[in-house]
Amino acid sequence: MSSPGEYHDSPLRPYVITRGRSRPTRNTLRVDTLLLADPDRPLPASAGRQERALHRMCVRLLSLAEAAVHLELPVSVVTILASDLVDSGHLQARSGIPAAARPDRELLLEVLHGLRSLR
Amino acid sequence: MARSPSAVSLPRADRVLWPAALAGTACLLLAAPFAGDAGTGWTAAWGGAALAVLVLLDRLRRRHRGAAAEAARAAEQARRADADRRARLETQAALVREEAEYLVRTRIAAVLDGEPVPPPLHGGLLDEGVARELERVLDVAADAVEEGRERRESLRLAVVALARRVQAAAHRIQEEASLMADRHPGNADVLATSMGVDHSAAQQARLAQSLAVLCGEGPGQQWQEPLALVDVVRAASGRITAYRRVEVSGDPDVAAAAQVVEPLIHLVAELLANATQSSPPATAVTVTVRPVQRGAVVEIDDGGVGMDDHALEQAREVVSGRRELGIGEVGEVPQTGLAVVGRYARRHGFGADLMPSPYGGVRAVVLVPAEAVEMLEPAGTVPVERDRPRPAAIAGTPAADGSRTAAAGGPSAAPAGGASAAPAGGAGGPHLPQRRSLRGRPATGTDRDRGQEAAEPGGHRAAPTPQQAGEWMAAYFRGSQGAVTGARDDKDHTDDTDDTKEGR
Repeated sequence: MSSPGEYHDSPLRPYVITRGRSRPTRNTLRVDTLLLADPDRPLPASAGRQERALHRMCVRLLSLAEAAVHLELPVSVVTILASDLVDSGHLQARSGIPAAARPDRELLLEVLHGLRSLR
Repeated sequence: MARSPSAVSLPRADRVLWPAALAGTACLLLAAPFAGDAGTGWTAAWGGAALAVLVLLDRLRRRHRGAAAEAARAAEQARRADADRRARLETQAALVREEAEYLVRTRIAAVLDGEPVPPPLHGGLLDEGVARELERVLDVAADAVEEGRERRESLRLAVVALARRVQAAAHRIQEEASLMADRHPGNADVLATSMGVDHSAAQQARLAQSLAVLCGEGPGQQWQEPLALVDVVRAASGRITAYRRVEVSGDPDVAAAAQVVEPLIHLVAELLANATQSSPPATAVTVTVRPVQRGAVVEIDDGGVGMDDHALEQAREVVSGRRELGIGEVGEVPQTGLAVVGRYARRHGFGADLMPSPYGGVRAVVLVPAEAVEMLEPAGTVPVERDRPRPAAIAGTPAADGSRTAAAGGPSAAPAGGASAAPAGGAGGPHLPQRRSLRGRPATGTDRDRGQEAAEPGGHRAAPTPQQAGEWMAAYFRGSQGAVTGARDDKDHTDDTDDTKEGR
């Protein structure tokens, strides 16, 4: 989450947040996966503040990477939390825009040049 | 024995009187046979001589009596003087005995305890030499105590310095482990290793920290933000071996004020270590956080066999801080945990107590006083409500000081600079942080306003003047030029936010 060489110290260590797990329960979540929370489904009382924060901020559609930034947690840790919440039905995961469907950069540049030449 | 002047003169008179009396008596005895034969003259002479002898004897007798009386008087005087002296000696001996006892029992004890030394018991009454020697004993004791104190202090400082070094080294290991995980995003094996290393280093740091705390020092690190008590407990659980056995529940928004976050984490970590060590490995250690009138309470229950009354009573004395244990008093197999708890309880005014738990083991209760308790906004309220995230602490706070707080530290820390930090998230690419989807979200007041503002130009656009269209196109091209040189712009943008941050 932080830039290389930069360390964000925190009293709450990642292994505590994930209860020692280093792998998410599902491998379909990626950094650009969009997460959407179900606001009518409150989290259980045992949920930690990070889960609560994640759940609440995803009431608006939010990508996993953005959520990690807001939580100030490593993406891999947020992936584990998010996949737990997806498992429990509190979050929906929507895969990001597939790479194939994205406009090609070259194409965009060509359009841009075309527009410029219109001037 | 001193002689009186009369007693001295007496024998000289006796020397004259005694021969005279003896000679007179001898003459009378020798002359007696002739007294009858001789005439009246002889008889008269003999009678005179006898009279003289009688007078002499009488005087002698008187002298003798006087001398005897004098001697008796002198003997009496001597006896009295002797008795006086003996009494005086006995008194003096008793005084010295008492003084010496007082010296050992009270005055030296005061020196050893470093308290003000009371004055001697019988100041002016004691023999001067004895008094001086007793004071010297005191001085020697005081010197020895002072020397011992200095040696202990330098030992303490050395232990503290070493403990701090170990602590700092452990924190560096944690940092390296985190950075390693960051460098390999998405690699679960690296993350697992990083977590293992982090966990071990966290325990090492706690031990070193305990050592310093038992030497009377503070925790040696501080966090800048308040931390929810449930997260304090979880952070604490990260510093013990069996952190997976800790189950915490309770109000997620009650928080510890920033200045007590680290002391409280360490204190709870020691209680959790005790609880997990003294209960079967398969059992959970349940922790409950609840706000109370006088602050907030953290309750830690273990399912062990508990402690007997005597041990519990002793442990309560220690955890409450009533009995302070130092590094030298924790035993050969050091029992540091409760002593550390007691130190913090004393230093920060936490109430710490132990009691039999309904679960069968021990219940540890920590009362955090109201002045050290804060209420946080519910988790996750703030971040995405901002249209343009404010630059926040991620890049702005110095990294090396080890003094920053977690994401959970509070909503204020949460609106992290999407612009500066998200690209650093690496894998996503530059398009990720810029998007703010409005889908699936009920429009708030501000959003509605913004929507209206957006709609109005849209209405104009239905019939734009040539001038407006030209301006729009110009603006569009300026914007897209920026997009082409996106890398540089991104950098500039980051710099901008950094500047803003430093300015704040």
